Amino acid sequence: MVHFTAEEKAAVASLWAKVNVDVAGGEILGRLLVVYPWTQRFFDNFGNLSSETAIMGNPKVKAHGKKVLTSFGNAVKHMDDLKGTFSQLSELHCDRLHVDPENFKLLGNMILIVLATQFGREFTPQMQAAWQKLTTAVANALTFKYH
Amino acid sequence: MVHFTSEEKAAITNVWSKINVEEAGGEALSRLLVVYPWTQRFFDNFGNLSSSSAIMGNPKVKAHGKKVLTSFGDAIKNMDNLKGTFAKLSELHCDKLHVDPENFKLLGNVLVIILASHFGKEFTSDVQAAWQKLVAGVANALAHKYH
Repeated sequence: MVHFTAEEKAAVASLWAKVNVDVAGGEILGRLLVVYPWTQRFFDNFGNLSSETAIMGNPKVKAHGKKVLTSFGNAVKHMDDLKGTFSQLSELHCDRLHVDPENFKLLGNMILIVLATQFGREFTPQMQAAWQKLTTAVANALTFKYH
Repeated sequence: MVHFTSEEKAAITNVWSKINVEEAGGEALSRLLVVYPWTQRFFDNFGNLSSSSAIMGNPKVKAHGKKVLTSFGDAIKNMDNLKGTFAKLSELHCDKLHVDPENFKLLGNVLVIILASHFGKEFTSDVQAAWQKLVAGVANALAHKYH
């Protein structure tokens, strides 16, 4: 089980408090679809994903991005039990959505990058390290029920 | 061979022209050592790496970071021939430095995050995609001569 120090938890929580989940969620999912275009295959019914502008402006992308990042908020509240927290979502992603778990790491990368663009210098190396640890742990938790 | 469109090249060179290589290089290497602490094993003789402040302020880290990022500048001048450009460095990293090529991807990630934190909104998803393609191309080129 991943253990987060008090400093790591504080770093994560302080940044999270300032994140606009609506806006950031859409940005994160949009960037995933732009930077790793094969991920678009999971979102066939999202309409126009034909260009960067289309993707970043697509309302379904924004809505789903918000949903995903809101769910990530659960991770922040339950950093001591990520596997338990994401157990059902893990089963869903394996059994019904058929998502290659490698993509969870890619989404984690996007979260870090959007945080970096938003917070600039405030996204210090210690902040990055704490968030990297969290996104990796969430990716592992989401993979945990795969079979 | 990786092919970069003219838009991708423009996005890359536009960002590159605004980078302070000395500063960004030091920051990139420091972040690598902080966020992925196992990478410190390659820098035994760098002195004090015992905390993130020690790492961020370490003059050898800054100097070597500048050297690494200056070398990265060669990638930007030779985007159509990354493998040729990095052939010798690839041999060096395999035969003499014994660096696991996975670490090249980690450094690439760190570089993208630094650009994101420096450039904020200007680091759009298109610009990010171009840079991710470049760092992946460089990582592959550096791994190419491994045996």
